[in-house]
Amino acid sequence: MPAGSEPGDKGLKSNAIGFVSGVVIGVASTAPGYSLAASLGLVVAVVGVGVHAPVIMIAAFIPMLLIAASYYWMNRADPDCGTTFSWVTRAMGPGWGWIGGWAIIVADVIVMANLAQIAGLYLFLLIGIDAPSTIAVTVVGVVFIAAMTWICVIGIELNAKTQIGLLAAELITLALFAVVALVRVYLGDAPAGSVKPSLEWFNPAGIGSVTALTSGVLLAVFIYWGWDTTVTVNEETEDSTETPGRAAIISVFVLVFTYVIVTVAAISFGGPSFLANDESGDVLGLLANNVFGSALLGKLVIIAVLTSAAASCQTTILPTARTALSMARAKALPEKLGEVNPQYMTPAFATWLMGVVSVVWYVGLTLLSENVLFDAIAALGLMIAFYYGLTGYACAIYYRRELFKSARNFFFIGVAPVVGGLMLTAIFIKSCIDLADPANSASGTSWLGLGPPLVIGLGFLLMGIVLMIVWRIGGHPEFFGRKPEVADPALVARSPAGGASNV
Amino acid sequence: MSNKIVTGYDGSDGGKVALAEALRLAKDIGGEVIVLFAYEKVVVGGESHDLDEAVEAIGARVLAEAAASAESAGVPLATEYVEGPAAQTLAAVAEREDARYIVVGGNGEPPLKAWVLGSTPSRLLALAACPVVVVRVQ
Repeated sequence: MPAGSEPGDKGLKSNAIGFVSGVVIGVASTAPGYSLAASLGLVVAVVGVGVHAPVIMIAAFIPMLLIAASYYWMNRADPDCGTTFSWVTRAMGPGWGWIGGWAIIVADVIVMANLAQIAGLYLFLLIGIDAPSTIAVTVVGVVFIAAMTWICVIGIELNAKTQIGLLAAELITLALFAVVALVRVYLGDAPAGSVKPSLEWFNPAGIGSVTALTSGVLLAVFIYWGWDTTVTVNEETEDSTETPGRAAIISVFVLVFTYVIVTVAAISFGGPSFLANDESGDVLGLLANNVFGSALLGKLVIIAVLTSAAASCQTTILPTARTALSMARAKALPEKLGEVNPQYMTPAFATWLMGVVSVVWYVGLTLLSENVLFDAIAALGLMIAFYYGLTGYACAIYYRRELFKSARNFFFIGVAPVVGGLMLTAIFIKSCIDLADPANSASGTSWLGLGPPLVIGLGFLLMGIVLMIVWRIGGHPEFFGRKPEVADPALVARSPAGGASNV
Repeated sequence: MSNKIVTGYDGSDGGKVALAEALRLAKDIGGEVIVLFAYEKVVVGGESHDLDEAVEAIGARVLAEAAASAESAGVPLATEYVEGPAAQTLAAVAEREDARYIVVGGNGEPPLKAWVLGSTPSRLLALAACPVVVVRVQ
């Protein structure tokens, strides 16, 4: 596929991204098909959420939008595509930066296990096996992780056109699923248990409790995870003052719209109790078969979820291996992780290590209990809330001297990131309290008297702190001796967000 | 048409045989060699700054290697670090320089990657405006 081989394209600046590609990258990095497959059932299952899942989908997006402002501004400060690790280290010093980078790596390992599980289940659904054995799914999952890791190691990347094609297929399939499901519900053609959508589903007050709201949002922040990518590619877009903002906004609307419509359709067709009681983990695939009433069309949804999971792997492994590489080059991790394979030009060692750790984690967790893999989504939510929140604070801290220079600075660089950070911190703390009770986790299992997501989430963070201390005791003053910096005033003066130059 | 010969060099065996052939050819026609190190930046966000730096360091190292072999062969040589996919950048630079030949290694790429994505030589056949010399690693 000779991409970019048009006569006018000299290939030298082929990585400039336009508006459409910006939107595509934003939506594809979020992997809507996989995200829905992994979390829809879990969100509906939260006691007190049920049919109000659409509100949760909307509510979860608000902190993400606010944090995106910090991604936008921190990316201005570090235009060469840094993320949480670089930014937090700059703004808040090496300790916080290290933990932020660690949280990204942990989130990656956790999500790989879940991706593998979804890929395994859906591959079996694709060939018509509804209830495969755990061992079979695990074997397929491990092969999936290995294959995705290998693809990242040798540096195969989907080009923009392939991505647009895959994403279009994914979104059209999801839309078709939603439309057919809703039409059948309204024609009275849906199975028993189906309910017609009602406006009440969008009423936030209908959610049973604050616990229900935060547990739901904790699961749902995961479905928007990755969307920030759109904001951080701005330096390479064709018109860097206008495009990234618009691409990010449009892509988020595409996402919110998709999530809400598919959620409404799934709840009304399958009925809330079907979604909530499903323990198979492939609720979307099972529903798809019923909705289309034909195995062939149902398989389209399954294929969409699978391609989405594969794309998600790419947008997960690649940036994470690069985070490990960045940390290693900053002397925050062993040097070996900072090696770049001269043949493939990728951080091959870091990537392989990530793959191996993911496999160990996935197999280990499956041996403990299959349901724990669902709990991993909540643990993942804790990680995301932690490092996104940290990034929000980092932005305001880094730009602190600029905040009071104009109302625009104050609201967009100060208030928005901090409010986003506070929301995520509140969700983090409330979830930690709730998850202390094992009954509030998806598996209902008890680990050390606590819910598994809490043990996983806090366990990893504590492990990070211990490892950081060990690393610090080992010296490495180049990293730990770094002092927090402040933003250069020129960064703010240089170009206005979204072109609003005179606020 | 100039007497310039464009080749890509990444330090691999395929790159080495291509560079050697390019130098021989340049000597024969009294031309000069332009050596490219092409790297396609990752578009998706994330901590790519350090990776780019690391790759630039590799590029600088192998280009210096190429310059050294040109010097010992007594052939004038220019090096260039370019961003973009290998085949496209080779074709573009060759066109810009009105090059006489493009010389590439026939099997320098990781075989599986070449199998999945297509190899640089086969892509060049569709892109290059000048003759393409393909040298296989023996």
